[in-house]
Amino acid sequence: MNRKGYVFWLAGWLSATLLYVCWLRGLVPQVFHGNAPAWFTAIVNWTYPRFGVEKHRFELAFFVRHADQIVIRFGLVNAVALALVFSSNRYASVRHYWAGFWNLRISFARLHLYRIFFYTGILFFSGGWYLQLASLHRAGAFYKPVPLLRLLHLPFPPPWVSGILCAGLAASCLLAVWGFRQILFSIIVSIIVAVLFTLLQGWLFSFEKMDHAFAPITYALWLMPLVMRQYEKNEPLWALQLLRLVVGLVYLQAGLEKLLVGGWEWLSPDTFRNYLYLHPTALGSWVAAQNWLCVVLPLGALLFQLGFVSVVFVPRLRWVFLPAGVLFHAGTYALMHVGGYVNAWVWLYVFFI
Amino acid sequence: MSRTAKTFITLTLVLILLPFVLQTDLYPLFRFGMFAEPIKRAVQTETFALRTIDRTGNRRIVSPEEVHPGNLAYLMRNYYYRNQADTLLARLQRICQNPVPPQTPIREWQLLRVTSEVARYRPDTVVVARLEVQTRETAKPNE
Repeated sequence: MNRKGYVFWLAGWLSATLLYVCWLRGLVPQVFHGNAPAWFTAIVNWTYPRFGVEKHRFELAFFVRHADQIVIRFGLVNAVALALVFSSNRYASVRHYWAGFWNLRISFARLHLYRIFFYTGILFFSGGWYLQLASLHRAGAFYKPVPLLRLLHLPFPPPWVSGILCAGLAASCLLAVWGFRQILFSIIVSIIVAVLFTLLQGWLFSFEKMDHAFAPITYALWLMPLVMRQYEKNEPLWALQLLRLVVGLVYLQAGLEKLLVGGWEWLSPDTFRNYLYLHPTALGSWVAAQNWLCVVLPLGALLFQLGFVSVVFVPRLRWVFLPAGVLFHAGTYALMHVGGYVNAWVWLYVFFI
Repeated sequence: MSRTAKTFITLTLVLILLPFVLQTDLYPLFRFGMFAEPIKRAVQTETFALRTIDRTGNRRIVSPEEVHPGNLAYLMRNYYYRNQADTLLARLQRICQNPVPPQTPIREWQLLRVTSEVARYRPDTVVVARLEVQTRETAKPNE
């Protein structure tokens, strides 16, 4: 990127920030009181569907902070991206590092271990979906499709359609586990798995609650066809490196959310204690009574989430972060009954081995 | 690395980070904001529950799984705040004509709102909506 490019980038970033400060921020109180321009209300309703409910639960200042956060996060992402682009353009050593980073090659055995383990996991985690979808069908009055399904004008499927699609997903997973060597077939099967998984999961989430249990797996599903294609063509596996980076970024985002939304107050023992009280378990109640644990456990969780991405760049750190991740997810379930001992997030750790 | 590969990587990272910047789920893209907000307001501790009263006056808290296989907690909260609690009860009653165990016929469905002061955990329960079940005896002649 030349000097003009940087100037253009910085000018765009600055203009967007000024536009918010001088104009859009003033529209937040208007939308809260229901007298904002229709186009702005439409944007808020589209990007923040919970606003209709949350405006009755929280005060105006909460939503102004929420809007400010968008600009802060936009700035943060821009600053990191700009630093990466600038350093790559300016320093040959950085360019060399990135070239090596994306030029990943692994053994035939390891890739097939990844593929078999990953698609077996998909088969396992989606195993109960047919029964869930069939019983949700009788609750069709509450169906409120996620935007993707609304865009596709897809109604909630009757049990026989769910049955066919779930059977299709299971069959595709089995074929992916089996692993035909023909390039086209492998790619088509993995694309079918990604499409069906996303579609069926979308229907499960169309009852006003999005679950994040399978979020990183969904991302991995969309990258796997490319990984398989690259392997079959004997190309560097940059898509596999991207998949690892995406998983690392997912944890990083979860950690940054806590710092950006809660600030340092998030580390106060009372914050953790309140979460434990709201998700009561026997172990959680005992931990809530131990002040030092209410400091150490959230601090450990935050350091783990912020640090996990380092595994992508320093692979030997996996021997620290992968066991820590298993403990983190098992601990979350033991303390708050969130997630489960067999966890889809942990399943993805195979890609780091 | 080809330009196509660079574009694909950039686009993927932009899409992954979009929900983080906008602080919202854009399925199939996810925001990971669970447990990020410290609990400072009573409203953050609120929960909702369903209760039935049968013909003999017995009251019973209905387990969410009995009536709705999805996440009923969110539906109860959302319908309450959208002033649609009556609609919620009517729909739930239609879905579940005979909650488990179907012993005595149900006379009334109630939506309960449970709140407590932050860090005090002494819950306060209020009935925020009720639905009387229409039967042959209670229904008006034109119904």
